[in-house]
Amino acid sequence: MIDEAKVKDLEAKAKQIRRDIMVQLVGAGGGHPGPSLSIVEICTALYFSHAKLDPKNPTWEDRDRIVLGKAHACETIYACLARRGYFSPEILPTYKHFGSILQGHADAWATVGLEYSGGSLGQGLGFALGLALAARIKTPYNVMRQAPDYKYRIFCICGDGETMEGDIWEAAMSASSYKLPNLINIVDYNQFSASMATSSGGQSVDLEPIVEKWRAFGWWVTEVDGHNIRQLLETLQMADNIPTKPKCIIAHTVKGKGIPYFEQTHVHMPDVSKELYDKVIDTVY
Amino acid sequence: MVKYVRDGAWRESSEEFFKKIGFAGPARYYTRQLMNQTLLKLAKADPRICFVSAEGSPPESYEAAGIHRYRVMGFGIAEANTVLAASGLAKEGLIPVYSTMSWLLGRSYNNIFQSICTDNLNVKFLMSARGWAGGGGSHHEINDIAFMRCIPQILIMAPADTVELVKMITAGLKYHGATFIRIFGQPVPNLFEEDYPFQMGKAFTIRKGNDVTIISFGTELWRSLVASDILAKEGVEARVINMNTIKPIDEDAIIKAAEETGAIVTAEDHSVIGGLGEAVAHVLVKNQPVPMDMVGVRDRYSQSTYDKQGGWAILEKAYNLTADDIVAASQKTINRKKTKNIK
Repeated sequence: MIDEAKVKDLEAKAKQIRRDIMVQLVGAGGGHPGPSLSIVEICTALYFSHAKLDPKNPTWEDRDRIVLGKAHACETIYACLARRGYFSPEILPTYKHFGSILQGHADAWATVGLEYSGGSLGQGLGFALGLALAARIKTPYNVMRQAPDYKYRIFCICGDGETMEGDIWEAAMSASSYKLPNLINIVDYNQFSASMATSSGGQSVDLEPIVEKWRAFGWWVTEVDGHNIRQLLETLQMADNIPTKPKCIIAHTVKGKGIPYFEQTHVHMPDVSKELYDKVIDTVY
Repeated sequence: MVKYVRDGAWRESSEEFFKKIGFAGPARYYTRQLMNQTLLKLAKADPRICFVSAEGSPPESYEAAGIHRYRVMGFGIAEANTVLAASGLAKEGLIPVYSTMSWLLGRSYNNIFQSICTDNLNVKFLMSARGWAGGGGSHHEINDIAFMRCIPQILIMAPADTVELVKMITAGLKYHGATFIRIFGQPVPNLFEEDYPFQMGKAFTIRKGNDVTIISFGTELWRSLVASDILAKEGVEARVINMNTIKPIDEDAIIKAAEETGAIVTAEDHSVIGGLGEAVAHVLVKNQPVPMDMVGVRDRYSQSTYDKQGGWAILEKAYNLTADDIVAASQKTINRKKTKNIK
């Protein structure tokens, strides 16, 4: 059972993360508020509860690995890393500044705590697959259970628009062929890609039936309200108990969630001035 | 003659060579056998080495050699995913080896650029030119160096014979960082003695001379020696340099050759655009511009041929990769040197 006090605490953290996203956006003059805001609860659940991490030891061999496939939503991850103790939150306003450890798209070489250098979409899941296969090689094999005694998990966060990329499905086929139980993919189903709804008919591709697609590729699939922290935690715990399949959690989210201005405008990569910051910073909910 | 080079080896036909070593099959199978032997030996000694493939050898063949089957991973006909998975394996401290054909890397170019070379992930790409000959234009690697050279933090090498192949793979697997080794798919004579002191990043002069320098690698190197025999009959002594590492290129050897011989020819089984030729020209123009010519595929698509039809003999003539092409280029640059005709 998940403690109500813990859920309340995580919800408060999520609100702080949203404020931290705004601090980065105004510091850089713009960014990706829509896609970053939609994964706040997912990241809060991972970084502050479900994932096994040690900020003082970022390369700890038994840490859970978190791969941000949708690397443009790095604002959320940077905020989580800062609040989790990987680096000081005072660095957040330097987002995208030349020489900053916070690059415009998540770059592992720049930021402590990141696993993957991204930017172009669809490639994080294959990378996460590689991490999962490495765990299979490195982890001692339990003869009684006929499987390695995995000590850590690999989480990948994909955008729904990102799952239009072919590379995603190559990785999906491979992961289920290998029956990897240590790989969990979370799809941020916010119904939008950069410029259009993911169900735009002739303008883009229709992702539905999205659950059936992942199931057909051999994954254990479930759906969840991506902004309900209790549901996310329960689902992640449930996923841990599925033995011989990779897991896909389709998280129903809202692009721009948590700041009404961005929820209403669906804009992908707007300029963010001091005026806009002042206007929206206290509307975070 | 230069120490470590087998004098006259390039005058021996590959049939004679294979008869001597007791090998009966086509040359490319011998190369692949040697490659696999080397890799298995290295993998048994270093448990970090693992193998990825898009439809490659099954784990059983590795298990027979003592490599645990978890270290051999196939990804089906999905080259992009194979490279992505290799990058994840490398991130975890393993050394994934991907044997493929270099034109397939085009499918993974984005990832090689944004992730593998960016983070110096220790992935080993062993690219064999198996596709040349029957495969047709789609299977011929004529621009792989061009699209790789321009990526920062990349290591690109090409062996000229099987002795260098073994040493290069061994050194490449010890090096930490994205490594691309471009391996010949046609018969090449054995140019080097077993104790040839191969060094990554250092060009090796295999023939002394001061009238012109021929800088080459891989399958064009022995052709450069054939060309230098022809030139010697005309009283021209060519220096021949094995530029086995294309990136980072040995700038000092190029500049020294320009200063001492005053005329440079490059020869490569690659387009004249973006390959060894332009890499050498870059160094010369900045430091010691001298008359220069490039032997390579002249920005054209290639076609099929097959072994019984004459295989390499047809392709090298059709695509200007013969020893005669190297001779002509050498004579041209020497004339320009003599008449100071640098327009």
